Amino acid sequence: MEIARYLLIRFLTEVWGFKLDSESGGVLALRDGGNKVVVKTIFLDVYEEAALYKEISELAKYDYDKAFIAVLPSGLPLIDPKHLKSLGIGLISVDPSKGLDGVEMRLPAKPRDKPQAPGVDMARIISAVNAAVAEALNREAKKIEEELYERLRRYLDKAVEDLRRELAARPPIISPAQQQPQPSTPRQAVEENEWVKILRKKA
Amino acid sequence: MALSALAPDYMYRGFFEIFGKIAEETNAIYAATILPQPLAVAIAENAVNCVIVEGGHGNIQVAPISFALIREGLVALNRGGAEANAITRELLKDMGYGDVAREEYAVEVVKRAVGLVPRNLKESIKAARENPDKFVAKVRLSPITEIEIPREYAWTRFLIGEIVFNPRHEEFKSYIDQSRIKIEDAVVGDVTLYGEMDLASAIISSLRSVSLEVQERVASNVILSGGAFKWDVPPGLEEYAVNSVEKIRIMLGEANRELAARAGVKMVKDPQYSVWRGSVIYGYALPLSLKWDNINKEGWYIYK
Repeated sequence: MEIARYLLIRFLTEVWGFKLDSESGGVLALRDGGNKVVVKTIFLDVYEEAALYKEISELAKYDYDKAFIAVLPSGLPLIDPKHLKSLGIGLISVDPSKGLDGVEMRLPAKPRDKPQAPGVDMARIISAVNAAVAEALNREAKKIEEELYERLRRYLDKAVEDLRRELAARPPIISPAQQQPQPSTPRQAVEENEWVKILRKKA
Repeated sequence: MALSALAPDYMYRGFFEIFGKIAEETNAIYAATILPQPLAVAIAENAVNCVIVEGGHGNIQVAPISFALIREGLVALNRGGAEANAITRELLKDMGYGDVAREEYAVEVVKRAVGLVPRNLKESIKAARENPDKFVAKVRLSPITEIEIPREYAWTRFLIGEIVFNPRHEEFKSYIDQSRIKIEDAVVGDVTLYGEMDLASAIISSLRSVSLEVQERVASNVILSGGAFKWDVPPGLEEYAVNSVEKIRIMLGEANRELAARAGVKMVKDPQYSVWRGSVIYGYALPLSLKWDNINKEGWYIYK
């Protein structure tokens, strides 16, 4: 299946000249000039009709200009081309045994219809409202931030001063590391090896 | 230099001759010495009374040590990591990965990734057959090659580890009968390397050759070393798979409960380097005034 995916990516990028943007969960996101192209790879050992149509219907949730599904030759008989045509989804078959020649477009994809722009320029209104809200929020956040910073600074200064006074009043402490003997060096460890003593006696 | 405890005399002579030639050409060698690998492991572990079980690729040596290697107690097995590789290769062929099975590297990777040492072979296989989904595994050998152990073969993961410890099971019989794996005795010099002897029997047989006075002390410290004992237990399979230390404990318990209660089994800290570390310490401590003795196989062979 990895080989099929690899061949498909080579075909799309080298033969068709698409640019690969990303790949996740069997979905390849590519760019054909300014168009977003999505290719859903469905490479299975055994195909089931219901599962195939579920995968096809899931393509609707992606943002694209053109969409394809890619299947192995064994999946082709289960796909109704009329259904794909009605959705505008293209079909690519990948036969890994034939190498790059085994990648074929069986059905072209139709560009997806973009929603028509409404009469009123809602985008401009929304962006103006957003800008006004953001400005107000920023102003309020800054005020809160400054107040919080000041309170925190005063609290920390007091805590550090208290700790300093407390430590000055205590006798010096010897850390456990200072109390413990230093770990033996590799040379000492070898000298402590029983075998070294036994072998040296053989002189 | 460390050689197998089974190495025949001509091998010692051969190496001393090689060192002699290098000494002549480079003038860089003053003296050389050779020690048995199990002794090197014991030195690295600072164990003066112990049984070293050194599991290599081709053979396993069980060597009792009490202030020196007890050569009479040496038991050698004619199997090791190579047999685990062999069964992995045959299983891969059965699973339809004959092309992958041709590459020794791939077989080694698959063995390390999916091989399991069963707590009890029969029970572990039964569990894997009843619930194969729990035991299926995938191994990625390269960005484009992935091996998947199918559900119907999930139980065979236990054969890979078990063959090192005990190949006397019905499950291995068909592979041996068809000559797909070869486990048989071999003779090197005057030493017989047993093919099918299980590890607990080998340890017990080795201990029988140790004098009763030190037997208990030696048995209390069974030290495993070498790559053939490097087996992991994947999380979630602890009920069915064990590491080498636990496996030896279980096998000793099944063979002799009293011995198992007294035996301490442990694995060396760094199995790959313990022989090297022991050799370095041996070379450091062995007095240069002690000349090489062919009978005791001890001392320095001086070249200058």
